[in-house]
Amino acid sequence: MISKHTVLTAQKHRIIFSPSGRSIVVTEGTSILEAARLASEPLPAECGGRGACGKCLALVLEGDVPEYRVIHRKEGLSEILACQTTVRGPLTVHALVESELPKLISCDQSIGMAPLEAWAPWPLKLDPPAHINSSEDLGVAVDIGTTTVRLLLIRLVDGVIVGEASAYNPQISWGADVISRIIAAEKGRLDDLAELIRRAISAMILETTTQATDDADLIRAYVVAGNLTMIHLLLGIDPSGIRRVPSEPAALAFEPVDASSLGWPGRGGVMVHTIPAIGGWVGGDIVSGILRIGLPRQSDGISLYVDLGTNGEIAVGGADFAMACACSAGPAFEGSGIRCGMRADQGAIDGAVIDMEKGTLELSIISGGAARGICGSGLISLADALFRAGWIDRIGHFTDKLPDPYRLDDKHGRALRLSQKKKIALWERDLAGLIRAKAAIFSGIRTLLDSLGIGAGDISRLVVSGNFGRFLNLPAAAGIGLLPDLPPEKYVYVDNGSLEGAALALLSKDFMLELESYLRKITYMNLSEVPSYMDEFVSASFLPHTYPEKLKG
Amino acid sequence: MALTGLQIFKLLPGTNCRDCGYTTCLAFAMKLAAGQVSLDKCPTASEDIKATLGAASAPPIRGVTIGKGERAITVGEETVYFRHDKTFVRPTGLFRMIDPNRLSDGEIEKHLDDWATIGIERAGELFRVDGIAMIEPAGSRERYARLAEAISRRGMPVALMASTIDGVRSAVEKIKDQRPLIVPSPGVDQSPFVALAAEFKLPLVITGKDLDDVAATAVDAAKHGVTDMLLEPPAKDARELHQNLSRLRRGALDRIHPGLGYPIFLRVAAGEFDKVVIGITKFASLVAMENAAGEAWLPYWTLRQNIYTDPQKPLQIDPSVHSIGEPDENAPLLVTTNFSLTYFIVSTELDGTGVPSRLAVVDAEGMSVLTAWSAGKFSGEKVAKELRRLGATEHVKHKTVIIPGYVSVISGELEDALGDGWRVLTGPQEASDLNAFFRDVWQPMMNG
Amino acid sequence: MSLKLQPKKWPGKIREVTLGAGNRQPRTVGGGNGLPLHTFEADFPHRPVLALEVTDINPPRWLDIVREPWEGLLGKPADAARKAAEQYGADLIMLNLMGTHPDRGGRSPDQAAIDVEAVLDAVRVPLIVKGPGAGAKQNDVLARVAEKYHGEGLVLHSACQEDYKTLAAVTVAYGHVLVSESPIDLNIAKQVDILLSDVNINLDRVLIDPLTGGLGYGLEYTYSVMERIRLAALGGDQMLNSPMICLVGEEVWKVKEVKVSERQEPRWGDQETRGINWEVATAWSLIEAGAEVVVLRHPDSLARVRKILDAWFAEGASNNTR
Ligand code: SF4
Ligand code: FES
Repeated sequence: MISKHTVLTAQKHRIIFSPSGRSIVVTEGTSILEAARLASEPLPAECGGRGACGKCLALVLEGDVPEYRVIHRKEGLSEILACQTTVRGPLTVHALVESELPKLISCDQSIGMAPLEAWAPWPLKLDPPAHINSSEDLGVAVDIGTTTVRLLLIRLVDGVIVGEASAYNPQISWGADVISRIIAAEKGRLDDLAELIRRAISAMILETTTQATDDADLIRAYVVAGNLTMIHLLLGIDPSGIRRVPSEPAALAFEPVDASSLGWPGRGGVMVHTIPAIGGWVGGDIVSGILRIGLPRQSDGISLYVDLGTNGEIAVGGADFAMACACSAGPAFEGSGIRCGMRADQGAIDGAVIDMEKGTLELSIISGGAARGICGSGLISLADALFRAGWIDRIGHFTDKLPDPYRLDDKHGRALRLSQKKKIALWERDLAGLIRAKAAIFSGIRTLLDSLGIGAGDISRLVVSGNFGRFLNLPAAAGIGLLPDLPPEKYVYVDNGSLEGAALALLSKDFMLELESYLRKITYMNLSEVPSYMDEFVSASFLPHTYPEKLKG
Repeated sequence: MALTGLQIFKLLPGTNCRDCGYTTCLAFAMKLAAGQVSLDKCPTASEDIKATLGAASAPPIRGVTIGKGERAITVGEETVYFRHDKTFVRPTGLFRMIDPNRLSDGEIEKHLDDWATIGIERAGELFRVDGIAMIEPAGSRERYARLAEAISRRGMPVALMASTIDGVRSAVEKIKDQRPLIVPSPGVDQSPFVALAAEFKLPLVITGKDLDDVAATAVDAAKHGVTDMLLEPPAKDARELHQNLSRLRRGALDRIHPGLGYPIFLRVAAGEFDKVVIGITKFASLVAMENAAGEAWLPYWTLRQNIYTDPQKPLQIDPSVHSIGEPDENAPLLVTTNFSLTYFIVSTELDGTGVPSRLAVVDAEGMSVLTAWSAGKFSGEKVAKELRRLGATEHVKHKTVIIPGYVSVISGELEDALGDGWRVLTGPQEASDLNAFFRDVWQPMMNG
Repeated sequence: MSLKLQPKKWPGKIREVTLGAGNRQPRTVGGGNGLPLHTFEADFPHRPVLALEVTDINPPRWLDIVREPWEGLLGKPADAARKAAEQYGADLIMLNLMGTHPDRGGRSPDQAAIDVEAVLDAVRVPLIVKGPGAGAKQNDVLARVAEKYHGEGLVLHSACQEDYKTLAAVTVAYGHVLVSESPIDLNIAKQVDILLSDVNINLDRVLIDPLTGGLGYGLEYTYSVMERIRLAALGGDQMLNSPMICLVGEEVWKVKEVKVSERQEPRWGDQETRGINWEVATAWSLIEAGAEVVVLRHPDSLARVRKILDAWFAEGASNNTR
């Protein structure tokens, strides 16, 4: 059997994807996942092809695959992981996990708002750095997250938001996390990754400009915030230095580039500015966020800023210092990476209450109607409610208190049934993902505070930012040990600090100047170099925490 | 009370001028708090902060060096009671005792030749006999000097186990430049030895009938000009030894008495295996052992290696191809990183399968498999390069290499980088499943 | 100027756990209110105890050195247990039901129960029963044994974070002691104890197995985790103050340093003594780190560790020479 393959041939085979019918010819030895990418077949691959996420599960309808790669056999057909299985002959394969295609979503929650009035942390006057020609001129603020991209279209003359869009970052097909993207870039996919994000953003611009019935060529300036890897990938710059130990990014700040070079609208000379980063793992998104919450002008006390993204970012500080770190939380908060996860959008379960007496579960669903999935805040509320009711134990496993009507057990494991018709449910695996995510964030917070010798009680304000749609259920977040349990008046919620900061930078020179001068005061901490981080992480991987007293203020 | 990073930060100039080499005053303050940098790196630091920080920085246990040159050994300088609190820094010196009253000079020379060359490599460390403790021969000062010199000539540190002041003086005069340790017999009047150590500025062991006595004698010796001392507590049995070692370390760290801030000396008779184990785990700085053989030394060295490993810097294995059993050209070839624990677990499990195999340990800077992969140290290309460099690819006929299950992602890249018809097989994620893997995947494949 | 050596006092102490009940002569461990072996400043109502390991089948991979003291008794657990208790002086017996593992013959839960019964009949000392390892079989075997010999205060080895409910239930229902196992991690050790107490196990019926790394093979990790667990317990943590058990024998007798003969490595000295030294050094270090129950394989190792402990805890042993 081996000898058959040890002869290295340059043989080529056709791979057909069902049901789309897309096909491609690849060299023997290429992985099926790779073939799917080459064929533009949207095969999900959350772990980036490490064989860890199981999302690339596929059924071989026709053709032979190596025997040792077969995971199950179903009616005589083999199930394989596309990322682990190499092409040895012609194949027809069928993806088994529904892919979450990058969807473009226009929303309108901010339209009509004036960022300077709504968000300015200290009095700022309208004074855009870009030159304004007409009262119609526009600016664009973008936040590129590892999972989600959001964009605001703003009229420069009065600073009013006229368009808004958000979408999943299409680079997800190269892996859900930053490391997988860097690896993809190292493997010669840098241009593809750059192209994907540029195109996605230009589609979002077109969508919003038509929605605002404006001309895209009226755009005068862009400000982009994002973690440093996202910025590298946007600009088409090799990000491989970022994951080195110690991190050696190509640069922390980049000169503005011409919009046309990214394929974005704007008549000659319109520039795209990126917010500078502090370190390989603490990017412009967090700088933007901590400026948005006004750290430099904070008169006294210490603020804690937490951005709940796939790449969780945490900063603590005040007027004269700040310390920031990033941790890999995974995409659970953004409704991705969980089987029935979705964005905070119509049909998403975003809250849950359990009636202990009746043993029933009440769901709240965005815009009412039937549940289509679970968004980040729904996931947090569910976990909190389940835990309080004793339906799950402290490691997120269902207990025998879970009432029968809610019980589900299938090939993905045990789950909480959330709808009868469509199979919407919450599996133990999903809860494990959430626990990992919350543990990453909380242990990051602890490590940061401990290294400075600050107690949670010394925090005068805790600002939470995240793409949770309308809100994050703060008591539930504290209940599962995602955030410290502080008195409610200390909590502030911002929808997307990074995006809002970018919008302010677009509208105010003063804000941008302050940002540049505060940059020097920010210290970057690499959690992976802090020996106690792993310990804190394991300690936080429990509901609510192995040491619940650590949650208290 | 140690200051926190933030407290120190408030005392620093706050200009973020970066002259210290750190990007911010805060970053510098954190390093100061961790004791990883000294304050003089900041040119503009105030006198105030210098005074505040200076007071807390004197080490609680003095460092003492014995011997000269490459094999000189420094002991002491410990700062914690529990290794997990930071780390134990100066591994226990293990000295072999020689009693010339029972051996001829010729026999001693032969032993010395032998012991000086012992060097057993394990997990990146070279196990050696750290020094020789020479008992004073009865009746001949010249002989003592000659034997001391014989040890020094071989580069090994010397402890002079002395019963008479005249005897030891002659040996000291002979090798005074070699920084021998002077060890008076328990119970003798120590004052002439104190004077001798002070005269030649040599390290001295202080003994006493109890800890009070030891501490008082040490203070007295310091008054007479001895700066480098080791303390020898009474230790009639394992329990008393443990008690005194524990009290000495705690007393030194708590700075309850100026006579306690020194490393600890321990002498052990033949067969007192347990005392050496207690000594190594519980704070002894230097142990002089009578007549211990390889079957005792190997566990001592290994125990010392374990206890003195920095908990924050795990041990690394030297990259190479390890044979498990007697593998032939059809035996499986596996690859893993050089993080010691990973290696130990995988090799022990492999051994347990009873299937002869080869394990290629590649350089991944001592990181575990997943960490190394994230940091780019265990990529297909790197692994391929290492496999070639180590010659792992030459041993097997089947041209198949088994990689850890956690990094199946590198399989394609590794296959490409190896080229030449090589195949990559993804092994199990946990080493304990290797048995099943060989049975269910490897063997059917080889036979199929 | 005399030293003012203050004994160190702690707010917490180790739980007392009684092993064996019914027909067993019970043996209590734990109860100390100071750092391990710090007899000069703390009270230890019970000394650490030593177990010897016997097996249900003839163990396929034991070295000759550890087979020799059990000549003719391997795979005869009752006879081996009798010898261990009567002749070799084991405080308790660990019956390793390795033969129930699917890879080693897959003996059934009922066959396992027969072995347990034979051992219970042969000796009066408490019994640790070790299952085939994590997985469904572990629960089947141990649950069967637990049910059948209820009231004997068996020590069931072991439950872990991912799979604790079945064994927790039988421990409570049939009056046994449960070992909670964690992978050399203080936090997980605590988590398993919390999970167990959440399902109503009284932690006075739990031992922690922190997972033993043998000398040279991760000992330093186990050692430090145990020291930290002990410190947490003494600091008053009610979820980390269970006594600890270490399976030393099985970790020691598989490593290279005990397998290689003197002929192959002359510098390493006599193989048999080296192996026993290895087991003694591992056992003793872990006792220093807080082990209360130590399971050994070689009776000579047991004799040597026992000798130190006997002197240490002898009535009127030098309490404090000041
Ligand atoms: S040299 Fe002094 S003032 Fe300058 S950054 Fe460093 S600590 Fe701050
Ligand atoms: S398992 Fe194949 S991409 Fe994740």
